[in-house]
Parts: sequence; structure tokens; C-alpha cells
Amino acid sequence: MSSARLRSWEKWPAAAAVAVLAVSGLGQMPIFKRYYVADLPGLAWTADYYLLHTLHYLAAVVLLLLVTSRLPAWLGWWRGKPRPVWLRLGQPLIFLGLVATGLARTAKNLPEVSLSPELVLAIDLGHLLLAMLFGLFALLALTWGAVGGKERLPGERRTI
Amino acid sequence: MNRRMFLKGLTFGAAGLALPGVGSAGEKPAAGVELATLLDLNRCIGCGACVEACREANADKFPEPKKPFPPMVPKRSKPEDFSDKREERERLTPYNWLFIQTAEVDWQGERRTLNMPRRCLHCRLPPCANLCPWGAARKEANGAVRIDEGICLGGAKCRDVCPWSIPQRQSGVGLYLDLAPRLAGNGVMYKCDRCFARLASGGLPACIEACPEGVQKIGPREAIVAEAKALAEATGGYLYGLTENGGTNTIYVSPVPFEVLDAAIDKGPGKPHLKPVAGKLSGEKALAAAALLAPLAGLAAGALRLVRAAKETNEEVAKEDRHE
Repeated sequence: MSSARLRSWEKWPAAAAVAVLAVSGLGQMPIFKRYYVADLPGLAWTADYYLLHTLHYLAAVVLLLLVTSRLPAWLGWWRGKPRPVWLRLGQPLIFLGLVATGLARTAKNLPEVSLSPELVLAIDLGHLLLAMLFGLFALLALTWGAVGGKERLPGERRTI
Repeated sequence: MNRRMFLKGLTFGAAGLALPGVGSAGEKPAAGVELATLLDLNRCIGCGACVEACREANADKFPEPKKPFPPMVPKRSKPEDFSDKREERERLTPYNWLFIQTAEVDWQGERRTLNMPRRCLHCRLPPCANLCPWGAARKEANGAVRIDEGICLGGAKCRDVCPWSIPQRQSGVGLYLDLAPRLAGNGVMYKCDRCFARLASGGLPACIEACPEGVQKIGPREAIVAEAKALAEATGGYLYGLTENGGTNTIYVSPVPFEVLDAAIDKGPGKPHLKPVAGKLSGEKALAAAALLAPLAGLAAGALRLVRAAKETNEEVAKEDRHE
């Protein structure tokens, strides 16, 4: 059976893509310049909105390719895991929500597409909220055994 | 003037050029048709009627800030206040969305004074709308780019990414006051919204309606572009806005090259330049295509992997069966 997990060579690009998405996503808000982050040596690029925009798209492409390539296998994999159902299902659902809102925003940015202001606002705020939930759930999944949740199964490795 | 005549007037090259402002009040463009404006700088006498009309038509949208402004954190963030400079007409401000920029130039042995109504160009790929993290700036189906004053937090990202730094900020007003006024946001950004309500009800933008010289016209983009090109060809003129930033819905036609005008105009905050502008988001379509195709490609690869794994498992089982 094909593994639902990323192979070891795939994990680092995936982790790097998530990190780039988090930083470039936060940087979509005009905060890095205001709060002196862009003043730190080597971090002036965090205030370059065009660069952040491109980085966000490119990192999304990398992550989408890696994760969706494991999705068919994942569908038959998650059942036996020792984490509670809300966590097991919550992570992929949040991820799907992030992808859906991200792609909707991508489509909206095309010159031919025009969406209602309410929908655009819902997409933008939804994407921001889901990104925060994604981080929270990732932490929970990573530390479940350590914070009083059920222990991992014998031999089960912690995954990113 | 009926609809057919209106469109005919737009597309009739030199004959159409004689018409002062092609669309007239009462003509309602079909919803969703991308509209553009044409500004013939040969005609502008700098009377300022458009500026006054704009101020009057949009007066109810102008900010009424609460003072004193909330103290900002960190201190480098300063409030921006134009509420005591409402009479300013020589630049763009939250209370002046259109101003006349004047250039005195020597061109082909002749001293010329050219006046240019300057405002938002309503880009086809507007960085302000595409990069606004909050959905406050947006492009509408008719090509107008608007900032929603009820949603805008005044972070001024739109001004930072605008090639002409058009949007102008007023502090002490807007949604940020109800959220975390010390920590995030700094007011509301204001700029030309191409009189969206007037257009929607069949009228013309105030600046176009008020112009005594017929400097501006508005109509379907295709027709306006054709007319701008025809006018430039007929008069030996130059175009600005057609290709700038990947194309805008404001096209200037000038008898003097824009680099000459740019060198002669007063530039600075609220006073945009006339330099050539490469498409800031020209790679957008390729990036979007990659992002939209990535999940499909990934799923296909994953499905193929599953099929291959199932095949291998079947072969192994068959091999084991043979051994038995």
C-alpha cells in the first residue's frame, strides 16, 4: 500500500513551504515595516509586498503538489491513528478550507474575475482564520502525546 | 441619443473625436461591461471645473475624523491628517480625489502649457485591490477600482503598491477605531471611485459631466482604446495608461511625449509621476495557473502512485500463491 505520509525527502520542502506561507501570509498585512521587522539586517524583503505575494503563490504550489499527491493514500490511512477524531479530521478539513479560500482569492485576482465585496471579505478573513487554526492544530497534532492526549502507538513516528 | 448612437459615436474615429464626452447622462452602460475613460490633453484648459465637480459629488464620502487621534504604537506610525487642509486642490488628498497637474514645456520649438486631470487610473490588474489583505480595495465588473471605507483599516498598503501612490490616508476615521486603534490600522484610504453610484444610475462621473471642453469620455474599453489610438494617430499624439502597469482604464492622449511632461511636472506625495510603468502583476496569470493546477497534478500523481502500489501488491500475492 502506498504510504499516506510524505517521504523523508518531501518533508523538508513541505515544512519550508509552510514556513514561507506563514511568513509571506502574515506579511500581506502591513505589519513587518510598522513593527521594525523589516529594519533587521537581512529582513528588508519582509516589507516587499510584491516579493511576498510571489513567494506566497510559489510556496502554495509546492505544498499543494506535495500534499495532494498523498491525499488518495491518506483517505485509507487516517482511521487507525491514535489521535481523537476531531483532530484527525480537523487538520485535513482546515487544510482543505485554506486551499479553497486561497484558490478563490487567486481566481479573484485575475482580471476577468469579479466577486462581490462581501464574498471577497469572507474569503480573506476565512483564509486568515483558517491559517491560524492550521497552526494551532499542527501544534496539537505534534504534541498530542506530550500534553496529556493519548500516547502514540508503538513504533509510530512523529510526523510533520 | 440612443444606445446605438452612443456606441457609434465612440467608434467613429475622427468623427467621434469631435464629440464632447461621448456618454451622456441617461445612458446606462450594460452591467459588467468594462469601461474606460479617454482624456484628450489637447482640450484641457485647466479651469478646474472637474475638480470642483468631483469635490461636490463626493462630499458626502469625505472623512469626518474623530480627534484627538489614538496614540500609535510604535511611535514611528504617525497619524495622517488632511481634515484641516480640505481646501487643498494642488494634490491628491482624502478630500481631493482629482487635481490638475500642469506642465510647461518646450516642444518642437514651441512653448506649451499642458494641463492634466490626475486621479486613479483604475488599473486592469490593480495592485491595490489584488494585494489588499482585507478585501477593502476591489475591482468591479465595470473596471472601476474602489476602496470600501467601511472595511478599510488604513494600513496604506494600497498606496505602497500603487505605481502612482494614488490612495490617500485620513486617520481618526473608520473600522480601526473599533478594533485595536493603537496597534493596527491608521484610518481609511481614499481615492477616485469613478462615481460608481452615478454610473450605476445611468449618469456620468461628475468630472466628465462638468467639463466645459469635453476633455474626458467614458465608454466600453474596446471602443475607448480604438478611439485613443485613432486620436493619437490623427494628431501625432502620445498615449499614457494604455499599457502602463499592464493596462489601465484611463488613457491620456497628449501632443507632447510623456517623458517630457514627466520632467516638467511637480512630483511628490499626492502628485503622481508620468513615467513608464511595467506590469507590476504581469506574472499573475502564470502564478495563478500554477496554483490552480497544482492540486490537480498532485491528486493525479497520488492516484497513479496508489494504482502502482496496488499492482505491486497484486503481483506479490500472485507470486506467493505460485510458491504455495
